[in-house]
Amino acid sequence: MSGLIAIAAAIAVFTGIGAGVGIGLATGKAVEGVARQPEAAGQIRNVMLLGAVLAEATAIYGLVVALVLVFLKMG
Amino acid sequence: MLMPEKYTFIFVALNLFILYFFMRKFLFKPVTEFMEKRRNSIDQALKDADQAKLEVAESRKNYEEQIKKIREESDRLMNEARAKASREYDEIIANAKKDALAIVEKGRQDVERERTEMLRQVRQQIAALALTAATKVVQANMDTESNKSIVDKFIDEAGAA
Amino acid sequence: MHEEMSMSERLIEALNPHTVFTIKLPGIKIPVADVIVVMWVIMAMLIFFSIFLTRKLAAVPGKKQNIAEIIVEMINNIAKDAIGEHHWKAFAPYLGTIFLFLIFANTVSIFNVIPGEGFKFRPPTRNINVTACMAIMSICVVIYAGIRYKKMSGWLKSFVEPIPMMLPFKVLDYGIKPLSLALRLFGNILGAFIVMELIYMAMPPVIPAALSIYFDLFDGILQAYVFMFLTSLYIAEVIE
Repeated sequence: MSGLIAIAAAIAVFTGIGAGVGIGLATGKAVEGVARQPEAAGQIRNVMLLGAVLAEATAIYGLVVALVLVFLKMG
Repeated sequence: MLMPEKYTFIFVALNLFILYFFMRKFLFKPVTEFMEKRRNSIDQALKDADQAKLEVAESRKNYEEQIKKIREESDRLMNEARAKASREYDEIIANAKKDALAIVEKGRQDVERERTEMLRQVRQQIAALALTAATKVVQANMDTESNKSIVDKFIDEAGAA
Repeated sequence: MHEEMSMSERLIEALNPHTVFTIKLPGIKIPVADVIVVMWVIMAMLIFFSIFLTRKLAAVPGKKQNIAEIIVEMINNIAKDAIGEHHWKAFAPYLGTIFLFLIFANTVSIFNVIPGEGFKFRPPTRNINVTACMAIMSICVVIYAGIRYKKMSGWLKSFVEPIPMMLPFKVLDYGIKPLSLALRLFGNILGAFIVMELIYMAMPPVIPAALSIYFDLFDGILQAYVFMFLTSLYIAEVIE
């Protein structure tokens, strides 16, 4: 049982892949934008931060689910 | 760390409230107000300086205008005075000339009159002298009246000569 | 096997809050966790510095006043950028308070000067109660802003705009916002904390210092900024 729960936690942490890809895409596009328009760097940074933070949420939810599985279910 | 604990929750809420009030009272409110006050005072000072500059320019313009006006006025007065003076001068000169002429004329008339008088006296005296002389020289009984006319004629001739 | 067990036990020991002492009131016993004690230490420091730095404000700022002015100006500018020229003043102190508190709360583990056992400074934000409480306070501020600046009717009307179909999503929004705020802060700090604890356990005490700069300082300050940034965005969204 505990082995299965550990595997479940590991699968939950896979959500980090999506967040990584999402933040990478967002940052890449932001860098392009800043390179094209350096004067808009402040605004681009804010928007990128917002996007990265929202993308990161999935990874965090996965991490929290994994932690719940590990610490609350395994005892 | 995942377990809900009501006391921790309550403590955190209380702590945050206390922290918020302290931070607002001691850091954010005074510093923000102070910075705003300073910004306002600087703005005010700049505005005052601009105003003062404007006022100075205005007063300078006024002053220059006044100076110009005064200069014009003084020029005008000067010219007037000069004209008046020259007019008076001319008048005085003319009067003086007239007076001098009158004096000269009067002098000449006096001289003429005196000369005429003198001539008359001299003629009388010469006549008398001539009569006397003739009387003495001729020693004749001569009509005084006819002799006198002869003498007069003689004197006239002598005077004309 | 024994070694491994002791490592996981130490990790769990580091992650879980401990009751430092108990306040005994007639009738109830209130346990005070180390999370709260660390929070009190941070609060005391913040309050002390805020009083110390703003003593005797002068027109020509000295060194202390400069620091205070830079901090306040920065937070005011962030609030001004996010919320707008008109209403930022009401929210800058709250945003600044949570920002400053979170900066110190997230990075407090770098102040662990005494090695070995005993009382350790561990970030209070690794406990979900702390982050949940902060997120709920933030959403309360957002709701207060909506009611205060759009009136009750305007705020309620915003639930059915642009179409009444949006009502369930908008209601859900007020649940998801604090949930994501709390979990984001908690997950990031806890993740960095776990990584740092593992590094501390696996390596000699000198090497983790370099990694601590990223996991403790950078991540902590970034998450503090993100929390404040999102709160200000939510406030701006509800005010508009």
